[in-house]
Amino acid sequence: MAKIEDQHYINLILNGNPNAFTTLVDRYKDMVYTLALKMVTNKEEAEEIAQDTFIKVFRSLEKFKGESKFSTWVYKITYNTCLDSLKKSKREKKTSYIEDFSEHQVKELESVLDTIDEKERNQVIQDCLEELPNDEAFLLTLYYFDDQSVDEISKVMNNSVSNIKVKLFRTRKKLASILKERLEPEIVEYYESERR
Amino acid sequence: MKANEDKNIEKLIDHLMKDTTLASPSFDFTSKVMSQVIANKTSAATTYQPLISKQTFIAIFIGLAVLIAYVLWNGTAASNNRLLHLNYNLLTNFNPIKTWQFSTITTYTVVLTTIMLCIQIPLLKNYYDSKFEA
Repeated sequence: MAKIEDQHYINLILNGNPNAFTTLVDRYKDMVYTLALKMVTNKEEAEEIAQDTFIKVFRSLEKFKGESKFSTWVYKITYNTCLDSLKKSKREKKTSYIEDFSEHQVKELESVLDTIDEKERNQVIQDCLEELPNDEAFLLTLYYFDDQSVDEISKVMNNSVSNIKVKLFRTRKKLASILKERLEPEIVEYYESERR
Repeated sequence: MKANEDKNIEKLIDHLMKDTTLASPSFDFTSKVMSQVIANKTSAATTYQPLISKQTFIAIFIGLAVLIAYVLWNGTAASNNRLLHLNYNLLTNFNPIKTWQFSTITTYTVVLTTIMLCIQIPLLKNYYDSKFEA
């Protein structure tokens, strides 16, 4: 069955049926929650931010003119709510490692990740994502989980397209560095097994 | 060489992120949001709104100011003349109680209605007070 357009539910809500909002919440709650979680890294706080986001979305639904995708608009509100929350608590994650990778090193990292089982690999990636600065983790989540185009991400994060592209590139590199550092013992082990 | 390296990193991260899944909020997340949304909607319906809006008040004040300015500006001679020509005789000679006759039934009805109204006023006041306190 084809997915009914978001606009249909928005019209229902604007015509006095607030219960239609349930569908929109169900449709976007996982993504909004994950984005918030990447920014604040605290489950309770992320859930609170996600709730606030949906209430803000409901209150300002009349202002949504359909110029961008509804999801883009919702993620923009999520991003701003997260920034407000971070500003209030004056927290910001800063990670500054970026190193150069040779092709061989990248291959090696890939091979090591392939040797560990899926669940563990997932956990490692999640942990490394948490180590990224807030907005970079947010950017990667938007790019990979929701297949948002760079153009839409630039609207969400209020940044130019070229800036987002540079950020995306740097973030990937940072994530690879964090992964490498975290998997150092596994890489050594992998080398030893190769040598044998 | 550098471009090749970047391509490799991109491929690696693409491959890794493909397998990861979204986190889910608590199971009652939607119901929590909806209860807040509904609460907000009902509270908006009962929030106090002044009978005369700000805009109306501003319009009234501007109108009054214009009127006062007009009176002050255009002298007082005209208004004095108008007062002198008023005939108050009609008002002093007009006494409806002298001319109107009420039947006893009408009198009893009016008195009884007034008493009933006086009893109902405090009862209604209590009823509405308790309704809005809850």
